[in-house]
Parts: sequence; C-alpha cells; structure tokens
Amino acid sequence: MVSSIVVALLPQIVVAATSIVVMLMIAAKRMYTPSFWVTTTGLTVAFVVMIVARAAQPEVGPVSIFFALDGASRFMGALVLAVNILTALLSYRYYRDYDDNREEFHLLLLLETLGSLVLVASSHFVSFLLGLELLSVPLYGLLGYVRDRDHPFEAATKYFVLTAGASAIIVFGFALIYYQTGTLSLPELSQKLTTGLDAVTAAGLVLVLAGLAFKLAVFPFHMWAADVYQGSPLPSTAVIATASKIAVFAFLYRFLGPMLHPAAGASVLHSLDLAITVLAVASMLGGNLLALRQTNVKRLLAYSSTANLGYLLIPLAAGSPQSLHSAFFYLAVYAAANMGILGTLTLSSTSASESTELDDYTGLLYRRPVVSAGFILMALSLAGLPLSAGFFGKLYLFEAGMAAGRWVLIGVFVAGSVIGLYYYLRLVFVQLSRSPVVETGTPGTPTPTALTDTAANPGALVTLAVTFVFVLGIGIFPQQLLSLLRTVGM
Amino acid sequence: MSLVYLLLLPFVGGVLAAVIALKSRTWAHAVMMIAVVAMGVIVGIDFGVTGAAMASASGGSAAASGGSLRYLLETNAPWIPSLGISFHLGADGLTFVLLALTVVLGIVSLVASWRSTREHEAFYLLSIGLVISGVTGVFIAADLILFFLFWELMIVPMYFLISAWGGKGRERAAMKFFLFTQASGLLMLLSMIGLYLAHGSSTGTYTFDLAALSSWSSGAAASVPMVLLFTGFVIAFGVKLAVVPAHAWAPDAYAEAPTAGSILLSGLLLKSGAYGLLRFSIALFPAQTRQIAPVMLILGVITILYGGILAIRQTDIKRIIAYSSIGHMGFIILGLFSWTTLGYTGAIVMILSHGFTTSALFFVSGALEDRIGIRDIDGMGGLRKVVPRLAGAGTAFLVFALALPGTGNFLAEFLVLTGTFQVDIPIAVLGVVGSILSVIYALRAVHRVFDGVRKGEGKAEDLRAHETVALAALAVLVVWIGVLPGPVIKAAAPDRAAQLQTTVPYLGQGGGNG
Repeated sequence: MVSSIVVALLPQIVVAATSIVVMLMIAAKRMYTPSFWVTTTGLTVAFVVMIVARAAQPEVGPVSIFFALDGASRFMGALVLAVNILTALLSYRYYRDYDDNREEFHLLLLLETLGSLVLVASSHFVSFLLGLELLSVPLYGLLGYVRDRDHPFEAATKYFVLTAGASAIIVFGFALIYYQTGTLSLPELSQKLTTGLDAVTAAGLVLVLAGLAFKLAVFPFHMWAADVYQGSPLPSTAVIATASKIAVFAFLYRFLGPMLHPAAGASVLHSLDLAITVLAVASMLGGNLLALRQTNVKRLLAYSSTANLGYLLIPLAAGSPQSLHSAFFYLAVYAAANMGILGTLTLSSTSASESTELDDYTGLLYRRPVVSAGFILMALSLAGLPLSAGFFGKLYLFEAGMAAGRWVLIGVFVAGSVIGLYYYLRLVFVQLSRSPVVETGTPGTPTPTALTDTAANPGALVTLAVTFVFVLGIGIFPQQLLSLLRTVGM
Repeated sequence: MSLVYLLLLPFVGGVLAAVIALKSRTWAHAVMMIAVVAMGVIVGIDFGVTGAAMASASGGSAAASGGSLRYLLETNAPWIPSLGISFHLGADGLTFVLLALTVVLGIVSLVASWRSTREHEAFYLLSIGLVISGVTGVFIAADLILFFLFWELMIVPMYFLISAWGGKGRERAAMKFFLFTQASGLLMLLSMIGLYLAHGSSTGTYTFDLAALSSWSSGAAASVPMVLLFTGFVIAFGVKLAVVPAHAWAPDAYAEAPTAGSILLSGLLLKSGAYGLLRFSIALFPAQTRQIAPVMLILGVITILYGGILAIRQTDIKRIIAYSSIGHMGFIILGLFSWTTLGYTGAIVMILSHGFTTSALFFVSGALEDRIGIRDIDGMGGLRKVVPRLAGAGTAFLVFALALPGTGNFLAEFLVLTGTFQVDIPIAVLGVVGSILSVIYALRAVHRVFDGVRKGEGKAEDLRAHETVALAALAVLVVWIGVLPGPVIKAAAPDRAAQLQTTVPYLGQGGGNG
C-alpha cells in the first residue's frame, strides 16, 4: 500500500527533488546550460512517470484526506508538466544572453510546477492553500524576472498585490464555510451541503468563487490580466497563460463540480448555478469585446483567455460527467494553442527585447512560411475552425451545454465565438498582408521587425512543432484523446 | 474509394504545385491543372460506371425513389465513434452534376489566373486547391459533422485568396465574408448537434449520419424544436446563397476577390448553399421546408428585384456582375420553394448555367482589369475596336445573363417562373419584372463598356488563345444546357425527370430509357 502511494506520488517527488538539485547546483556553481538540462530532464521524467504510473495503477484510492490521485488529477498533472517542459524550452535561448542571474528562473519554474501539481490533486482546503501559494509565490518572481526593464516589475507588482488580495478572500471564504460546516475537506463539504445552504456558507462559497475567478481572470475580475501578460517576460507569460490556469481551473472543478452535479441539493445547485452562469456570460462577452481592439498579441491573448475561461464554465454549469471530459478536452486544446502562439512570439524575442506587437508579424507568411503556418493554425484553432483541435473542443462544449439544456450559455457562447473570430482572424490577416506601407498608405508605418533574420530559438521551434502536431493531430483524429478522457473521473 | 481520391486530388495537386511554384510557375500551374482534369476524369468514369449500373438495375422505376437518399457510390469508415461521427462520403446523380461543375470552374479559374503575374504563386495555387477540395467535400459528405467540416474548410482558403490577393478593400471584404458565413455556420452546427441529441434521446443511437437522421426526422412530427433546428440550417444556407437580408457580404467579397476567387466564390461556394437546401433541408426537414415555402418565395423574389435594381445602379463592372449574380440566386430560391417539378428542375439548371455564365463574366472583367487597369465602366467605352475578341465574349455572356432564349439561363428562368406561377401568381409576375431588370443592366453594361467612344488611350492585348478556348467552351456549355437539358436533369433528379417528361416532353429526353 505504501509503495503504491509512493509510485502514485512519484511525479511530485521527482519535481521536488529536481528543484532541490537545481538549488544546490546554484549554491555550488552557477551553470546555465546544465541547470537547464537538469530542469528539463526532471520535468520530462516526471511527465513520463505520471503516464506510466497511471497506466500501472489506474485507481489509487484517496491517498489521505489531502490528495486525490484520481484520473482527473493525473490528466491535469500531465498537462501541467507538458506545458512547463515547453516553457523551459522557450526560456533557454530567451535568457541565454541575460547578464544577471539566470539559473533561478529554472528553480522558480520547478517550484511553480510543484505548486500546480499539488493544486490539481488537492481535495482539502489545507493542501489547496499550500498548492496555491506554491504556485503564486514563484510566479511573482517569474513575472518580474527581467529586472533591467520596467514592465516586468510592474507586472509582478500588479499581480502580487491583486492576487494576494484574492488569496486572502479565499481564506476568509473558507473560514466562513468552516465556521458553519466544521469541515475543510472538499468531499465532506459537498456531502454536508446536500441538506441545504445557509447564508454564512453561501457567503463563504461566493468569496471562494470570487477568489478563484480572480486567479483565472474571469470577467469582472480580469483587470490585471492584460497588463500582466504584456509586461511579463514571454516564458512567464506562458506559465500564467497555461499552467496556472490549468491548475486553478482543475481545483475549481474539484471544488464546485460535486455541488453542481444534478444529485446535489437543490438550493446549493440553484444559487451556485446562477453565480457560475453570470460569470460565464460576463466573461464570454466581456473578454471577447475587450480583445477586439487590441494591437498587442499578448494583450489580445489575455482578453481571449478571459473569454475562453468563460466557455470553460459552461461544462461546469452543465454538471454531468461528460461535461467534465469536454472541459478537460477544451483546456488541453486551449493550452496547446496558447503555447504555440507564445512560442512563435518567443522565436524573435529575447530578455532584452520582445516582438509582441501585431504589426511586427506583417507578412510573416512570406518571410517564414513554416513558422507562419504554425501561427495561423494556432489562431484558427482558437477560433474553432475545423482540422484544428479547437473545432472539436468547441463541438464537445456545444454538445455538453446543449445536452444539459443550457440555452442561454450556448447562445452567448455562439455570439462570443463570432466576436472572437474577428480578432483571431486579424492574427491571420497581418501575416497574409504583403506590405504595411501599401496597406495603410502612410509612409510612417513601421516596418515589421519580427523574424526578419534567420536567427532561431531552437526551444521555441520545438515548442511550435510539438503544439503544431498536437493541434493538427487532435484536429484530424480526436478519438484518441476522447477515449483517454472517457477513463478520467474525478 | 474513388470518392476519397476526388477529395485528395486537388489538395495534393495544390501542395505539389506549391512546391513546384518555387522553381517554375508555368509547371506549377500545369500540375494544378492536371490534378483538376484528373479529378474530372474520375468523376466521369465514376458516373459512367455507377450511373449505368443504376439504370440497368432500376429500369424505368426511378420515379419511385421519392426523396430518400440513394447513393450511387459510397465510402464509409468510422472516424470518431465516441461522438457518432463517421467518415461517410456518398455521391448520387445530383452530386456528380455538381462535381462536374466543380471541375469545369476549377479549370476556368486556373485559366483565368494563368496569365496574370502575382507574388507568392505557391500559396495562391495551394489556396485554390484547398477551395476545390473543400467544395468537393461539401458535395460528397454524407455525415453532418463531415459536411460542416468541409463547409468551413472551403471558407478558410477563400479568405486567404481574398485577403492576400484582393483589391483595395480586401481586409474588410474578407472579414465580412468570413464573419457572415462563420456566424451562420455556427447556427447550423448548433442545429446539427440539436438534431443529434434529439435523435439520440429518442432512438438511443447517437449519430451524425445523414441517412439515419433523415429517415428518423422525416417521420417525426412537426414540433417546435424541429422548426428551430431547421431555422439554423436555413440561415446558414441562406447566407451562403446571399438571399437578401443576409447578402451584405457578397458584393464586397465578389468585387475584392481576385478573378479566380470570384469565379470559385460565385460558381461554387454559393452553390453549396443551394446544394444544402436541396440535400439537407429537404432530406432532414421535408415538412418544415414546405411550411416556410411562402416566406422563402417572398425572400426569393425580393432578392431577384434587389439584385436587378442594384445592378443597374453600379458603375464598377465586378459589382454589376455581383448584384446580377445575387439576383439569379433569387431564382434558385423561387424554384426550390415553389415545390413543383418545374421549379425544382429549373433551380438545378440555374445552378449550372449561372455557374458557367457568371464565371465567364468574372473572367472577362478580370481580363479587362488586367489590360486596362480599371473596373469603372465610366472610364471604359469603345473597347470593341481595341479588344474585339474580349468584347465579343463579354457581350455574349452579358446577353446570356439576361436570359437569351436558347441558353440555360433562359430555360432556368422559364422553368422557375412557370413553376412559381402554379403556386403563387403575384410572385411569378414580380419574378418576370426581375428578368426585365436583367435586360436593362446587361445591355447597359454592353453599351457603356464595349460600344461608344474610347475614353482611354493606347492599345491593349486581346484574349490569348487559351483564354478564348476557355470562354468558348463555357459558351458551348451554356447553350448546351439550354438546348439539351435532358441528360443533366435526368442525372441530377431522375425521379423529377420522369415526371417532367409528361408535361414538357423535350426536357426529359436523353439518357436512354427516359
């Protein structure tokens, strides 16, 4: 029994051990390339172990009251590890010529990964808080990692102040819940709530929901997202756009999923459902509308993430086991497309300067056709067009929402998707347009800067290649991922 | 299996051509042309073999088939079993006729782009190959999700064509085109999922297969959800056909697209809307299709009048053709929703002859623009002396477009209006007024462009040999459809052809046992 638990926890153990190794390496002698290889290897081993462990032991009972090592936590854990491996690859060339301390980036990345892994598996408030802080605290460092530019510091400060507030709100919410129900364990909590919902517990639930919505940048709580995305160094943007979203969303699902299940008590179901619906509608409309006029790719992705998290709340509100699968499918596809786009941006960026303006990519198709094909595929996947994974993601979400009869949410989803098309297509259009000077007729238009030389960031190319294969592969043969998700339970 | 080849040929041809285009643009075009021609050969052989088999099997009893789907050629493989989606392709006579149209217009669009030099030839040919593949997929898909996939797939390369090689307003035009078609497409997707869920919950099998869904839904009572589901499909098809309240994308997209794009857009992409109504609305929602017929007749006639009136007021030659094209789509709507044999066959004839005529007109206007650099008819005039062959072709096709007797356009309008007359006399009368409008704009265009005094200076090159041949072939096709429509009607609608023969004998002729 003990050995099986150790095997099940091995990925977390590997990541923790790797972070200690990297820390000791830094203490002994700063070596950038070896620390990169140790980090990447550690994360990759953890990823493989996660998959092997799942195949060997599909069901591990509850390890303790703190962790649930079920199908969902392992799927999400594997996803978190995958995006962090890609982030590590992105960062290598990005920080290679950075003349301050570079190795701590890897340490922070490993700690953040560990936090995410804890978060996706936590089934108790204490382990949740541990995971959340282990994710958030390294993120402050990651976001502000480049110290000789102003924007990263601004991004880190903004994120720190606002997200610390959100954490406090969550803790207060849980305090209220604990006061009334006497439990901090999530399964026990949803058990107790089937009998009814009183005002104090309801207030607690709303506070926790608001705090989580804040971390996810769901609409009324999205204000920090665009500035933080834009200001942070690209590899850190990748973390906040993918790993942190995956981890917090997985916890949100574990926390609220059982309460939104049709079997839950009617009063809980009704009030939570209303809250989730309002958040989803606001996010889908607000995120998409705000993204319309962005001219910076990172800001555009930030608002698009708000919209996409709104879409992801639909299966949560739908509340059936199939809808869990559709949410996970969508999240995986969404993360892949985001990684792909951020990988493309990283190709022509370093810690000294970044090319993230939309205009930088004018005519990219004709300069670098292969890279541009990848970028276009990612944009089309986010827009939900066929032969990209995004299409099946949307199809699956539609089906989950319609099967549950959530017509309002589906209607807003369609409206949001149509608005979203506009800005995703602009990502495509700039790459197709030939010369910016002819385009606007004004001679003062700056010439595109991104990817004008043949310099390449091998890590970013690998990231783009991996996400390209994933998005196109799932777009043509989604059955494998669907079958895998069928076996995932929470 | 050969249906899969049809799908792959233009795509593979496009990829090969793109690779070759980096070395030689002539060879790249040749490869693309060979791919499309090969596709035509396969279509011909398939239809020859399966059509003969069907004729000998069913004898004279084709009339009994009714509205049910009977494919001459099928491919079915599981694709995404857990969602009930299969890779199901099927082709019947109507499909083969439309595939033949696809091949012809594919060839014409390649001929039209042979001469003009442009940047980034590789990507251009790849996009054309993808459009043709997508359109082919739409015509042969027998699974709803597969159909939707190709439906979207043909939009994306068309968006590329407009936004990379379009005219001055290309960004706006491409965006409008994409948003309209995609928004309506999403509604159709919702309807498809709704149908899938309704079918699944009542029968226990969850599937997107067209045959399974149609045999279930045609038996289901006309309840409110069915009307809603039907609306999703009709909106998508109506937008694609540019029926009047949903037409706003069409003139811009036509006018700004490069010549080959306009040809494919008007000749094929629009026709996919008509095909959707013919195949999906009637197979999946027979009762609802009849219910909305009065509304659609009104919309159809408004489309005819609107297209005609706006075509008269345009000075941009491509916009004249665009509005004329919109007007002709109104005739297709009238024909289909008149729910008569005459109207139905008229709509099919219109799909073909409009495809040939309009693509020829876009060909001519593109050739004119290449040579004299403008599209505004106020700046033209007297071109008959400068470019006699081009002027002759332009005049001929404009006169064809106004429905000269003996052409397919005339036959189509005649059948449609006669069919409409049987159900709704005022609508038919207004439709006739619409035909008169087409005389005004067509003759006005002929007069302003080719006759009168030459305004510009200098010489211009006349049509080259390959262009002349392509246009002549299109003219022959238009006349052939008009004079001898029997085989086409028989192939596309065997049951209707038999009925038709009792009323209009010469139309049902041809094809052996009619």
